[in-house]
Formats: sequence, C-alpha cells, structure tokens
Amino acid sequence: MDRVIPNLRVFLVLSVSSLIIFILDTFHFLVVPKQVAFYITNPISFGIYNTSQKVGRQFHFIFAARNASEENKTLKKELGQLLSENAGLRKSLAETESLLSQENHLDPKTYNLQAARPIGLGKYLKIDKGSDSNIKKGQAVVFNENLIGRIIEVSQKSSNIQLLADPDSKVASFSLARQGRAKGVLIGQFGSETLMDKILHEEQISVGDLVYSEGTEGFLPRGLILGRVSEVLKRENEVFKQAKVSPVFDIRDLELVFVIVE
Amino acid sequence: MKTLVVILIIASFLQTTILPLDLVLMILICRSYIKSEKINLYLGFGFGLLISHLDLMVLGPISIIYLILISLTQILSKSRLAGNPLLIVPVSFILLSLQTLQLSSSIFIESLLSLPMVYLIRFWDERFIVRKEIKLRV
Repeated sequence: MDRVIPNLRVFLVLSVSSLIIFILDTFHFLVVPKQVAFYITNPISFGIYNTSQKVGRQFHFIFAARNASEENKTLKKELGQLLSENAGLRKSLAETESLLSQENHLDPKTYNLQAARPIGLGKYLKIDKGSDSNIKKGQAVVFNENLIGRIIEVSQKSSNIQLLADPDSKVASFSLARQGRAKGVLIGQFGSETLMDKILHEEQISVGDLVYSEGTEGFLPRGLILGRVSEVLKRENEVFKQAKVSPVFDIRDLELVFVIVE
Repeated sequence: MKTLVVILIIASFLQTTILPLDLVLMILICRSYIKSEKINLYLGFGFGLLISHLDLMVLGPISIIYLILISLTQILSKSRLAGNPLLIVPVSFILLSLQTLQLSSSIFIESLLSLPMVYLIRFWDERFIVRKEIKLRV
C-alpha cells in the first residue's frame, strides 16, 4: 500500500492531526494561540495590503492621467469646432440684425439696397460686391441712416468706397439744432475727422449737433447722417466759420454696409 | 528548503491579502509533481493551517484538502506520463477544481502558471540544491 500511496503513514498522521485541530478549533480550544498568532500575522497582512493599495493608486493615477490627456485633446478639438461654429453663427446673426436694422431706417420700397461685406480698410473701404451685383461708380453707401461714402472704383467682384474722411470727399451738408440750422460743405481731412466749411457766421451751429446730407449731389438722398459736431472754429477775420465733425460710429465695427443701387 | 518555506510564507500572505490565486497549493502541487517527498506533506499540513488562520477560517479542513491533493499529485507523478512536464497543466487544473468544486477564471490562470513554475522549481532544484549523496572522488 505504501508503494501505491507514497508516505502513507505521514499522510495519515497529518490528516488525523488536521482533524483533531479542526475539532479543537470548532469547540474554541485554540482561541489563545490563534490570538497570539494574529499579533504576528495581522501587521504583515496590513502592510502588504496597504502597499498594494498604494501601488494600485499610483497605477490608477497613471491610467487616469493618460485617459484625461486623451479626453482633454478630444475636448479641445470639440471646443475649437464649437468656437468656430459659434463665430459663424454670431457673424450670421450680426449680418441679419444689420439687414433688419437697415430695413427699418431706409424703406426698401423707396431705395434698392445691395448689402455688402467690408473686406478691407485702407485709404478706401473695400467691399465684396462689384459690377456683377449691379454696383456702379458714384453710388452712395450707407449704414442705417448714416452715410459712409461713395463708390469710387468698381471691379467685377469688389468695389472701393471713398469715405467721408477722404481729403477728396466733398458733400453738401447742414446741421440741425434747436437754435436753427447751418449749411456748409463737409470736406474730408486726413484722419477720421471731417471739416464742415463755408458756414455763415450768422448761422447757428454748436458742439453736439448732428450733420446731415443736403442731397444736392444727386447720388445720395437728403437727410443721411454724416457725423456729429465736435468743435466749432470761429475766426472773426474770415468770411465763413468751420466746424469739426466726427463720425457717430466706428467704421471697423460694421458687419454689413448697403449700397443704394437705385 | 529554507528558501521554499520563505517563498511559501510570502505566497500565503499574498494570496490572503491581494491575489485571488491559490499560490501555495500551486507551488506544492508543482513540487510534489517533481519530487515525491515526505516534506511536501508537512508543508501542505503547515501552510494549510496558516492559510486557514490568515483567511479567518476554521483550522484543519484546508490542511486535509492540501494533504489529499499533494498525495494525489505524488501518486500521479509516479506514472509513466509524468516525465512530460506539460502534464502538470491538466493535473493542476483537475486538482485545483477538486479543491474548490467549481470552475473559475482563477483556476485556468493557476493551471497555466503551473507550467513555468514546474520549470522554475526544477531549475532551482538542479542548480542550487546541494545533493548530499553526490560526492566527488579525489
């Protein structure tokens, strides 16, 4: 039998011993030695468990950091797309608002307006509409009730607008105030300001008065706002007095301008 | 032997704290498969008690299971096929399944791990254990 089952005697002795230990432990005879053993084994188990937790946390942090990095990349990409989409929507909204505002100020039944986007600003303001959109030289360009300038150069797809501040620009104008009105000629100056000249001394003009177009040139309607008087220049020895006129809005803020085609 | 005992103690603490594998039984099965010795039974008895104690179980039953499984391995190791080390994989699979009486993923892992363990124990036994019976003639 010992040849078939190796170390049979030892096996039997140990099995019986295990059985005795089992019975003793079941009836709680081994409580004291077990408690003593726990004093030794518990700190070791705790140490191993604690170390494994710490190591696990470090690995978890590494994986979490990697995931966060990838997530961050994706979110940045999505944010870029959303910002781009948002910018497009804001631009469309601003253009729509400009169109609506323009319709409220100049009656589309009276004036045939062609909307155009400003695409450059140097000496002239460049717009993205040209002769293909029925734009011709000399046409007036407005925004709401404000005159921006007149078309001076036209190509197929773009045009240049001579602004009121251009030194070559001259527009018959008048200012309106409670005290009365003053007539003159608005002449462009270097810079953004314009000068209203040829005002008679007896005519009333003061700082803050709005200056309007006279409409005698034929290309633009009467009553368009040209600017606001910022300073009145009186010289007793001169025949006429002058007034500095500054624009009521910044031309760089415009999303759309409108060409009066007819 | 001291090294083996130290390794078994470490394995006992590891399997009762963080690893869901029965490392002690795996090592003992592999050793019994290579070397059919009395000491395997003593180790099975002792570490069975230690595992029971660390797992807060009643002392005794695990020792008996370990003793039975080690004895079965030692019986199988005497068969002709035991020369093939690959046989350890199905042997450990069957014995570990017998221990828990259910199949789980850890048993598959333990069975597959038993093969490199056999080679490791054999390598250690051949290279680092001094045999008293071998003496050089001068």
